[in-house]
Amino acid sequence: MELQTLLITREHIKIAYNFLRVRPRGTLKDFKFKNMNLLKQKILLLLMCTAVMSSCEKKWDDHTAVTEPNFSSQLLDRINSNPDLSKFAEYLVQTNYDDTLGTGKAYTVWAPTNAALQALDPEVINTQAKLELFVANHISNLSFLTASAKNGMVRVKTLNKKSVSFTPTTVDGSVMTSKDLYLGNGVLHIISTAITPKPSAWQLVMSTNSLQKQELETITFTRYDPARAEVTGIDPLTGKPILKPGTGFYTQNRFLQRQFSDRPSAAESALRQSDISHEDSTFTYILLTDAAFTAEKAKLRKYFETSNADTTDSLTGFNVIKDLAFKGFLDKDNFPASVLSVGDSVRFHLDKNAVVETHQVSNGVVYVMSSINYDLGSGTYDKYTKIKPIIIEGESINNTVNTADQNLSMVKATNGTFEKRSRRNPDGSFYTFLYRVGHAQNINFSRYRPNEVHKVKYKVYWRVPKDFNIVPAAKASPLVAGSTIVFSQMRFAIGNPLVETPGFPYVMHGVLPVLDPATNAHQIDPISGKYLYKTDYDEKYLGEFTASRYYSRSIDPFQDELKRTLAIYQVGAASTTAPLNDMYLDYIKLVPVP
Amino acid sequence: MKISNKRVFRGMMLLLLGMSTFSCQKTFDLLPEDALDYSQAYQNVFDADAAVLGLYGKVTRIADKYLVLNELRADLEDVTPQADNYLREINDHNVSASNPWANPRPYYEIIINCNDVMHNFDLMLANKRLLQADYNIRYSEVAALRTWLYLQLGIHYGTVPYITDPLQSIEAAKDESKYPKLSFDELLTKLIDVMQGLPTLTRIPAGTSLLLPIDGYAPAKIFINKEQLMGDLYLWKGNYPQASHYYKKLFNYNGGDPVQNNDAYAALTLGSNGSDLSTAGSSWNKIFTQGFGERVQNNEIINQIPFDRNFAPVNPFIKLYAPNSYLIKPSDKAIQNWRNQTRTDGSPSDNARGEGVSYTRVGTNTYIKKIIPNYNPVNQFETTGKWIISRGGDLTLKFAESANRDGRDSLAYAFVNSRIRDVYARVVAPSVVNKTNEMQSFDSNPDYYFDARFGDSPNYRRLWSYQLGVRLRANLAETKVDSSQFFDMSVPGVKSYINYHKPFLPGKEAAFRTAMEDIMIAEWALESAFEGHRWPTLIRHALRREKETPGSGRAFLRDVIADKFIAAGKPVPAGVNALGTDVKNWYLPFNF
Repeated sequence: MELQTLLITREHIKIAYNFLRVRPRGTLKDFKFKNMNLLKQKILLLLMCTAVMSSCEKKWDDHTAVTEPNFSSQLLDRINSNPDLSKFAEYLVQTNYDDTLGTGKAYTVWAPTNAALQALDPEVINTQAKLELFVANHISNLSFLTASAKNGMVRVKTLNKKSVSFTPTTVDGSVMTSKDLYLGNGVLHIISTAITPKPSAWQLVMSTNSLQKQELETITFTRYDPARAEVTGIDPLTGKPILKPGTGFYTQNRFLQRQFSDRPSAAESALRQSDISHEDSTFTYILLTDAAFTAEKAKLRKYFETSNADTTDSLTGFNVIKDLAFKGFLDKDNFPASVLSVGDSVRFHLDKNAVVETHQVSNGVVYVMSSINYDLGSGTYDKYTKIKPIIIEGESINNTVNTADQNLSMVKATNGTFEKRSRRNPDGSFYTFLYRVGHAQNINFSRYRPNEVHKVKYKVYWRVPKDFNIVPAAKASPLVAGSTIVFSQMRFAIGNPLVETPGFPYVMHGVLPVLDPATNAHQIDPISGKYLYKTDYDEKYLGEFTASRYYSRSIDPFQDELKRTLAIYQVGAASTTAPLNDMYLDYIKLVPVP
Repeated sequence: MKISNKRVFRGMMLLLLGMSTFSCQKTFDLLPEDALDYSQAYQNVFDADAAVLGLYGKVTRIADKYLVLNELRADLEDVTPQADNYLREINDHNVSASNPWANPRPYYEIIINCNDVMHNFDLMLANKRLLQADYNIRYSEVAALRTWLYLQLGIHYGTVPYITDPLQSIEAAKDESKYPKLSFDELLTKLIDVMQGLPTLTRIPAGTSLLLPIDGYAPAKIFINKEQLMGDLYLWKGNYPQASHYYKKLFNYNGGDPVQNNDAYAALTLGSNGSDLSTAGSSWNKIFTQGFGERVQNNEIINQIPFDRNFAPVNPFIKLYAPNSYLIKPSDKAIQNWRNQTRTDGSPSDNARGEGVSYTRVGTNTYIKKIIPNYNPVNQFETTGKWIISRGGDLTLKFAESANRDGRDSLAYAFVNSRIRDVYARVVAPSVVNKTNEMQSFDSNPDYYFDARFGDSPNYRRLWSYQLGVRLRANLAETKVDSSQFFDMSVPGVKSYINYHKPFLPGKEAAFRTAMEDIMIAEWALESAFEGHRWPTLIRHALRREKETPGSGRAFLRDVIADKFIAAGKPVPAGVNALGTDVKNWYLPFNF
């Protein structure tokens, strides 16, 4: 190793001196000044070492030096130096995106050739906003090489917040003539046709003049939020902000804003599952032809009958369109046999023959369809039907007394005790039931108010398991083997709970005998000599009723809630003594039969 | 005068130059100003106190290791995706030689320190720097700590070298010719002998300087409880009468009246802090949430070490269990154990000790809570906590285990389940006015005699009427064994008042004792999960069963650990299956 000429600066000496400085303790404070000779020698040695080490630096630099010439050239230089990209370079300057590309971040540019830009609509060129949108559609943050489209396709967000599909050969359908040029600040691909920014599914639907669009417009509202308004100053008297008139308004759409929480702590944007204007998700959206829309409306109208024709009409309209968005990209040539819509999930069976038009949009695809087919409801329990079954949990009892309208929806003021008991199902899962005991009321009842009841025929089921005190009190009772002990009688009612609802008489509930698996004879407890019984966990069918109109908590908020919802009752026995009038309820289930 | 000054100056310069060149080391080998040199320690009784507390300071450094080895090897804890390979090895029973968790060195470092301290206490006594009475207390404390460390080593490594010499460094301990490895059984014999030979086994008398608070913490509960340690050693050894004897001593501290006295761990009684640990089952979590010096320690916590946010070391459990790093989580099996319980009112799941108390659920993640109950991830520097080494819950279960093996299964049943006064209630008919003979275990051995008489009008309460079983305190229904399998149900009435049951079917007693142990092992999982008792408990039972019927202990241990993986839907690792093939596989590789 050769020694280079030593260039000793004051700084070097200072560092070396500090390095060698000995910090003596106690009485030896003067030590360092008496040892200068020795120190000087040491400093010399150190400096020599430093010199040797610094001489290595250069070689190390050589070793790691960047030799790839492309890395020293920038995106903008390359675009400017390529005569075939002169038009695009011109537009970059016009839209100031040349400044963006000159910053230190990494970008990917899909640059269209001059030939590709020949066909560009002059309106785009002449409208600054449109041109910006157009140019930004060719640029994305970060470096995207074709190798990153490993699974065939990757969605890349461009600078105008839209997404393009990037495959190893194409970007949003246009073929890359030159690709993967890795430069100092990103990647340059050259494309033979420009990629025009597409509208989102929402923008596409709103650009049509279909009945469906008109329906969506009826549920678009302009709202005012002072927090969003522009503040021009502070009122010196009140200390309150002065808001600029005309600001603070924003629009909301009931369809887009709907929130469905499948995860309790999800962010608000994640809850808005049917927000088809959202650029980060991919949707398949169905736009009905006017004929199909009218037919659907006519079909559903009868389930949404209310006292007011206008209310019925708007309810029906909303229920036609509320389930027309699907998660992900559904290819019409490979429609799945059944698919669940987003939000409150209805099972659809899509038919490719009904597709009239196909529109690729920036966040998925929109199909214009002449008919749709979905599960309306079949009379068996299925939560993915359009007319939803209703499950009323026993513990959701609503016995709030409303003296204003006793006849409309009755409650008992003297309730006795409400016990919510948690128990284990035979399969190990837990359930909670309402146990009303010691209320001493003749014909006591519990009232329930489901959120939504359609005007349709419902089959009524309930589950009332009793899992305690199921051994008869006396040793020999009941005398008859195999008989069930009835522990209480209850009935289902709508309307006036004191009067028996037609079709829903008192039902006797009991427990099941434990049978010997071999002989099928009723088992007897060897110790007590009593017959053995077990809890009956089965759901019981009670009968059916037809709702006279559509009820919903969310319609007509100015109307009294009692009029908007249907009161449903579980009614206890005509007795004032426990345990004869004890009431049990795990749940009531209403299954629609459209 | 001037000349002489110059000479002196020159001379000094020369001296300094010489010193700096030739004898730097010696010159600067001064005694440190902020720490005590070895030669200056051990001057008086306060130095002796400092030595004892210093040892416990070192014990805090192995807290995380203690919990990882004692719990992650067992069936109640599992690793998260964030856990590193070393923790995974512990979890899968496939421990490589370089695994730092399995290195016994930190244990031996403390042991050698203990040896050194004990040696110096001997010197102090000989030099009259320590009174005999002071010596007795402190020497016994250090010996107990060393014994506790050796017991831990024996549990995890099986055969270990037993070193009692004061060594300068741990390297000397590696000399196998001087310190041969002892089998676990030989080790237990040695440990019991040493403990029995100690000057005192009772707790530190009030007024001892060793009990003076340090940094606001009263150290009495920090020291390993010698009587409990004796009970544990005998329980491991299989000497059940002696084990019960020492456990009963703990029950009876201060005359054993929990209503009047603190520190009587009289089996989960309400006692003077009834409002703290009531029967309602809703306050069990206070054992963990209350601070180090709070009331819950009076009748529940026997042995605990504080971690303070202001002092080193930082609470080591946060790194293991807290959501920020999240290396270890409760196993799915542990969660199922709590969910499978039924409460006294018939409703499902152990709410007093399960979700929200021993562990929490946030989204799909489950976190161990009882070890760091007050830690909040948004307040990361508030790390104060405590390390509970033993408490009434596990004392009760150990007593029940010992009593069952000593033929007192009804007593064991009462301690696990409900109350002595309920189990022994029907000795006399309710109509009999004379209550002298009811609600007590009539046992000639005083260690098993419990008077739990309880009644109203006239009101009478005997000491043990306040007792609650582990399950009843958590508001759970009784857990039972199928009597018809073990007892001759055709015999009317009860044959013994020591054990309130019918005579055994021929040859069924051993199977019954094992069945009783099974319900206790299940109860350990609910009461003491994550606290560092699980692996020792499983190993103790496995060793006992293996001794009775070769093969049964191995199968037992393998099945219990394999259940953890089966419940989580994971394949059973080869290392876990190997537990069932050879007892050697139960132990960690011993590499210093």
